[in-house]
Amino acid sequence: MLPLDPDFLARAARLEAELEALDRTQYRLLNDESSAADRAAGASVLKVKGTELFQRVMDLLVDVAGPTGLRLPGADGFGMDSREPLGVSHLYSRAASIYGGANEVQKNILAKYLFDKLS
Amino acid sequence: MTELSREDSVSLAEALRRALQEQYGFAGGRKQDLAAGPEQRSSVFSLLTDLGLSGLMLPDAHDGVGGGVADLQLVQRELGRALVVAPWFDSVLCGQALLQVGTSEQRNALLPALASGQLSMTLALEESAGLGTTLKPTSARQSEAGWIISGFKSNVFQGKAVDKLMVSATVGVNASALFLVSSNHAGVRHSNFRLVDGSWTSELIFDSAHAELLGQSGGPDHLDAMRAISLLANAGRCAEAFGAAEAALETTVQYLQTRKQFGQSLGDNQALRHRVAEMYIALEQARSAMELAAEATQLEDHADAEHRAAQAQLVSSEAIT
Repeated sequence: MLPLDPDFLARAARLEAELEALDRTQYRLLNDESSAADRAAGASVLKVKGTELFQRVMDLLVDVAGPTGLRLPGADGFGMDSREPLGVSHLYSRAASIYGGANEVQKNILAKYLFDKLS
Repeated sequence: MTELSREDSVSLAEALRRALQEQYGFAGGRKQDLAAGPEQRSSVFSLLTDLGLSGLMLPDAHDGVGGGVADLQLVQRELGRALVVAPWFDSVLCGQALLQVGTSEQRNALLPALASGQLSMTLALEESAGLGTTLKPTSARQSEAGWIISGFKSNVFQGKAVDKLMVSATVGVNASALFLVSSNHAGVRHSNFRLVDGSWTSELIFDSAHAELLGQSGGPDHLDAMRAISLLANAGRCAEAFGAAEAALETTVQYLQTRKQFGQSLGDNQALRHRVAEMYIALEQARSAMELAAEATQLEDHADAEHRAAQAQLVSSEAIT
């Protein structure tokens, strides 16, 4: 896949838009005068959405890397081609949805917050 | 663009929410309004007028209340929550176009009537012809008796029910301008269709219809004004979408708690609880999209503004569906 093909551009533009929105969500949370419960729910939103977007960015990058991303680092690390580490990074990104409080746990927290708030 | 104070704006939104809950309900008033024919303006329009919303974004000098894009979004969010169908938003957008490019005579003649809710208007900009049709885009030419427009417009929201249409037309080769046309003018043919949500829309065919040019002849191209209107429209739509999604999430959570299956509430099932959490995450993204859309109306650079607006529309439309 070439970086300039329309499919790549569309995927990149979509991720950029979602990141821009997540950025606003984060600032809203920082500036918000809302309750502790609202802020805790906001943190769960950021964790889930943030890691999902991170994984989608890495999916895109591993597609860009293609076979160049297959290598493990040698004794001197990776070579000149900046795409080489992407395969390993992509594998590592899979862990994001379970570290720092698994996303499933975050969703339990969010559901409890919403059921308490909206009942 | 000015803005209302935060207090005024919040109390306006609260009054609107209460009035809509009492007099419109979630989808109840809408059902009644949609049962009427295409020539009938939704009855909820007068409720909005009574609350003083018709002049929301018009300046004091034209009997308006001087609200800005944040106020527009607060109102649109409430209208979205109640799924209101009325030519209120279109009238607001037409008012903004009049403010930007209308002559002082046009502004004085039309803006107070818009602000009081006596006059309703809608935008006729879109030209999407069905496959196999030979409809021509709308163009304008000058005759001895004034401007004449010919061509077609599609998806004109409540085109039959409003008093006046604001129509875009090409002038000459490269320019395009906005024109005012009376909805019941003899040279305007309406075909009325219901949209998927049940609201009325018109396909218009202008057959040498007399039209009034907005602003002065030979004045600047209206492209800038149309761009500004479309950014504002996007900001309003994103807020409306957010309001509808917010109400849908609340209704869903309430239902999950009420409905019992196999001896327990639906809301005790983790699979459904997770879907509620996902809806909320999407709702927060939609809230941010609403902010991005408002931001786009304030950006100086055209390309930046369009980029930001496109991001907002993309995130909003995907998050709420």
